[in-house]
Amino acid sequence: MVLLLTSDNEMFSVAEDVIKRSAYIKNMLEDVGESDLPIPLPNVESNVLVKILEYCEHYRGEPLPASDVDPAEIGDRSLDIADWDQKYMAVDQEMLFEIILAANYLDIKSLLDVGCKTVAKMMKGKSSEEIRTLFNIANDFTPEEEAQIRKENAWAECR
Amino acid sequence: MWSIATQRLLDEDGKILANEHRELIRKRVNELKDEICALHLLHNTFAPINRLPPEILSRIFVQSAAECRQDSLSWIQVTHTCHHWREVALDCAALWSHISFVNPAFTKVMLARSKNAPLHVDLRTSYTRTTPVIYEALSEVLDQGSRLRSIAIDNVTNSRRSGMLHLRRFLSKCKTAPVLEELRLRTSLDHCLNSGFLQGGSPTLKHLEISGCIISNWNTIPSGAALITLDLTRSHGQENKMLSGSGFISLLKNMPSLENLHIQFLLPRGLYSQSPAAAPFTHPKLRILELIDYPENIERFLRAVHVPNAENITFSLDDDVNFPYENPDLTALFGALQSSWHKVVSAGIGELRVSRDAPSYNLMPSHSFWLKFNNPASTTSVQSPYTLDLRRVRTINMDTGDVLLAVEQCWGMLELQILDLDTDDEMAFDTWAVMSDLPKLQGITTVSEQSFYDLFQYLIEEHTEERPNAPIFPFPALSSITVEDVVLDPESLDEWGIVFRGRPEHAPDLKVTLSQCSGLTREILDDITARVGSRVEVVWEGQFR
Repeated sequence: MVLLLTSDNEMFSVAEDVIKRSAYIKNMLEDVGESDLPIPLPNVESNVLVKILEYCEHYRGEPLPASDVDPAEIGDRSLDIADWDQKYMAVDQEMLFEIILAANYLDIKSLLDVGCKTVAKMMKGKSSEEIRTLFNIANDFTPEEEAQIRKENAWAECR
Repeated sequence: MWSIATQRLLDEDGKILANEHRELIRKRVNELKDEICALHLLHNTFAPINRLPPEILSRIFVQSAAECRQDSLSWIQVTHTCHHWREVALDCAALWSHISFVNPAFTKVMLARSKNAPLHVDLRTSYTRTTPVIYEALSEVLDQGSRLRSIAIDNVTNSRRSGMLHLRRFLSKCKTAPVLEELRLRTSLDHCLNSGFLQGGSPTLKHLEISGCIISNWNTIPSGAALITLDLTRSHGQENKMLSGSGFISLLKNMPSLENLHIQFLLPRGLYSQSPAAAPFTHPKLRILELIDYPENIERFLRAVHVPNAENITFSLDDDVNFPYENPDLTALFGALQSSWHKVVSAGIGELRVSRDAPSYNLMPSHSFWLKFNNPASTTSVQSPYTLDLRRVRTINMDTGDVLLAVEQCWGMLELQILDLDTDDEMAFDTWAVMSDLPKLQGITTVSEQSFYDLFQYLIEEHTEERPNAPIFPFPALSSITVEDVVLDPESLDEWGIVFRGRPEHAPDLKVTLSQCSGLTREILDDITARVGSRVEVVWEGQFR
């Protein structure tokens, strides 16, 4: 078992084969070897870790992704998300972004991928104004930026 | 209502000049605008999504763009959301690397913003208007030879003169493409593929598809150790008499990773070797072959190139009115296939489909043979049933019987389980006699008046005439007959009783499915059901009129 200590000081005892989906923990265990000391996770709160462990438990035993994808090639991949992953990601925005941040910190590539796809899908087909409303963002462009954006919008519409 | 600073401005006594006062107000408005902008900026730093680091936001943007890139620039909305997102987007070269041609000005902007990222060029005219200006922009992008990762260009025809000129320039100029992985070029250029094209190196090229360029020599085809798919289609102006067999073998030897070969009317017409005793070349990696050509060219190829690990092979035999062929020697063709693909053939034929409906190619061949064999390396115990699916065979200078005879001679049909016939040609009584002996034939589908009529007549004769050499009963394993697209004659309902009541006790129960049969009423169906007996279930798939 592996002990994990969250930022709000909660201790979790997790099976090694479950948490090894995290490349960060996997490497740490390989580097440090067996230890009774908990691994501190200063960037992950307990409620988020519970959610992360749910994901790792679900995919326990599944092969790990070979390596990270080339960021330049991410765009070649489809936005399809497996049914279970879609249900798993049906959380409020706060938690969604916390999951993505934790997946990034813990280096869980497949979870990071699903998280990014989920956000990309949320934006699909929306105007910039609708995206702002969706994510509670204000229009903070300067007049110069607005002018350039108007030009780009004209290009996009001149098909 | 007013802020202190504004109030101070408004509370000035009347001594000031109107123009100066107006100027002060304008300044104050601008100060407020800047302040609002700064407040919005600050507000946005607290937005939950903006806690994501730029590299993750970039990743989300790239995925978002990929989803709608093909036909619109709507993805650009993400770069118009807020100042922070725009900065992240402008810094993400990959986001701009799938170059759009919807507007030449924007093409230039994308090229600049993509910095040094590998470029993806997709100019398919189905969704992009092509004008000379667009082609100039294309030319500028294609000049980035060292950055090109994928290129897909179609429908650049001679009528689009500007496009033709720019594309010819690219073909003659592009010697090396060190990161190019995919090249799909479908044009009607009738332009000779330049011998220098990519000959300087394309070590990462995996997919090469060329249509509409004249190939004067196999040496002009870029080859490489990484190439997995080669797809070549003849140009209208192509004369492939000069394409040598030995040159084609050399080309294949230079493509050791090749798995998919699609070649349309470019197979060499001449000999592959001067010596008839020359050993064939074996390509161990080729898995999928689509050969569209005249039967003799396909046969020659299969005799010269062995593909022991193929998974499926499609032949399409053209009956081009300008160059008609007569009576293809199917036995020779199948024999060549067996020599080329012996290991797989020996595992058992899985499916043979002969059809006029070819896959979607530019030059539509009229007929295709689609052969699928049981894979001896398959780990699953379930193999697909041995199926013959023959559709409108007659018009390729042979009829259904010819195909069945060739199959019987080359591979036998003892294992045949499914026979689908959609053909108007008459099938000889003797052919049905061969089929009726097959011990495993479980299902027959007839999709036409003629094939249904032939089968019915054969069964009637079997049951009404004494035949000393006839099998104990015809079609011993038959459990399903599907009849489609047939006009049922109420006058001949007696025949149903003759055909099906004669089945012996130990024959399997039979299901007869009627589909799209005109003339069928509930009364006729009830009548048929009463005549065929309890061991034959008659099902109508459709609605009575």
